[in-house]
Amino acid sequence: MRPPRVSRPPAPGWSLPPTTEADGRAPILYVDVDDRTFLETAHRLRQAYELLRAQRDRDACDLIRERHRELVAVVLDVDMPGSVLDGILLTRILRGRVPPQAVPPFARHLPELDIPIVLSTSRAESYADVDMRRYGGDRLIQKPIEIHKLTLTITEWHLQRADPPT
Amino acid sequence: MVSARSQITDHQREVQAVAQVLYTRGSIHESVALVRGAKARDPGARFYAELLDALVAGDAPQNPGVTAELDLRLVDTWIRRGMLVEALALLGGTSLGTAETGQEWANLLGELLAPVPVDAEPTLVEMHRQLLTGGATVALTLLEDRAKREPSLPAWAMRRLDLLRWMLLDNARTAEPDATPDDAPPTELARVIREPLAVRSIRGAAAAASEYAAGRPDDRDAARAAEALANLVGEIERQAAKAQENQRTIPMYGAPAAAMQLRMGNIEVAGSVYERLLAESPEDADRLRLLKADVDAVLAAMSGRSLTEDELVGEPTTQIATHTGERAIPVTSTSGLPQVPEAAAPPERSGMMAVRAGDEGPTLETPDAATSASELEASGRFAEAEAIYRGLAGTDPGDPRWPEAAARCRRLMDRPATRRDVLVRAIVRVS
Repeated sequence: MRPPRVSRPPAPGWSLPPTTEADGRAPILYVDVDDRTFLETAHRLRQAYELLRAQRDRDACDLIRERHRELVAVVLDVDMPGSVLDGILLTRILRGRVPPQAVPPFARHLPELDIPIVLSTSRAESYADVDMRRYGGDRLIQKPIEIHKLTLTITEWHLQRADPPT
Repeated sequence: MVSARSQITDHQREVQAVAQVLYTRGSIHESVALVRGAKARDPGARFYAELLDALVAGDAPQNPGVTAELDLRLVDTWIRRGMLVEALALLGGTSLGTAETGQEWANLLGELLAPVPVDAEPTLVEMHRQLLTGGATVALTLLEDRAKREPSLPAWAMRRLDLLRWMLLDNARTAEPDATPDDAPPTELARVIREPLAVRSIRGAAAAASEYAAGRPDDRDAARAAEALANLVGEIERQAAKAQENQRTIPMYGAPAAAMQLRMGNIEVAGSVYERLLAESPEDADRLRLLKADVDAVLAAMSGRSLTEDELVGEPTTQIATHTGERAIPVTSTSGLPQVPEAAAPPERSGMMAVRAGDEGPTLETPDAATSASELEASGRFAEAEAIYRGLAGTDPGDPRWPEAAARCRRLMDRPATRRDVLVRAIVRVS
């Protein structure tokens, strides 16, 4: 029989450490030029993640070279306005699916990432999730990204890795 | 196609029903994540493997013939049972996760299950693995244990400890990782009880209190404290015996979870579990009320309050049953201790004489996570025991016992399965 109530005491609150967010939380790379959606998203994601933000493709590539060993996920805007690469092409590059001669110089010799890649968009209905996966992405998520959706995607990725199909 | 031959438990049907609803709503990701979480929690269950294979192949889950009510009560139940991935998938795949409370729970679960940094210490890595695989109580134990040691936990890990306490025990704001207060014991009785509890030996505390009370026959506080501690030790044994009797794993929620906290010396946390259970299980209220009274009596003794006065304040005349539920005992506002008729005293609840100093075995003196691990090992839960041993090896690399114990568990897991193993694995933690 289920318990007759669902009430709980107030959830524990906490404030982020004031001086720095790099207090050991797992870092994710968040690539989006739009400040508004970033701010909407960042507040909640920072509760559990260290956000490394890049506004354009070049910054993203630099951060990937610098921090790829620590990253636990990458979140890419599908469109990436103002960049040479869009999120889908960058995903394919990061998964090693683009021949080197077709990669712009600033994006060459990037380490292949074996972590979840999430594509974000404000127009989720315009894209097919299955296409995103074909390009090497793990999930398409509507902006602003909610922490539970991101964590569920990363969690499923981990569980799948721990239990590959027979 | 999920095998029709396999024995499907009610719980598996419930998971299948929820997966089907999520799939039908178009929440395919959440449906897959739900079943993947269930499979990770119960890797021996062929049912989940088949269900997952079907989902990944694009087949909608079959109707299991039961209806799952998708509401926050179900989410709450799953969280308390340690089914955190499943609860997160359920919230994310339905409108439950958009309503105020559901959204808060979803976000908090999103925080709790977020990956740990790649260079996190092994204990925290293991804590995260346990969270993803149904071992929320083990994760809590690992974190509570680690929080007592230096260097102090990073802020994000302390936050997860708070969240986990809140999710599993309702008491994030009140639970303290250490059962014993830091201040000096205000009375000799408090000192006698606190010292063994400081090394997490509730049996030691019961024996010490019993010896103390035996030397002071007029001290009612000492007698009550000794009786309460003996009762709590009896409850631990009762839960362990139930698990042995049924040859099954111990569900780490409800009374067994409270007994685990008692065994770890977390008296206050156990009390909060009993309080919650009282609200949820009215059919078992009498027994739970007595256990809660025992917890309160021990806490009062530890803080130097007079037990008899403490118990009498504001108590109306009521009829409460014994712990075994066999007899009703009158308790009045003037009678002091419950007047237990001679014949009513059940043998396993016979008070302070039930535990003596000589009863302490070597494993019972071993505190905290090591005790949990050895008990999990004894009950056939080798994977979880191995996980704790590995966590201990990470925090205490100089002690060769932990890697040896982990290797032993690994060998036991790898050997050909006996009938008993199959039985143990077949019982879902939340059957």
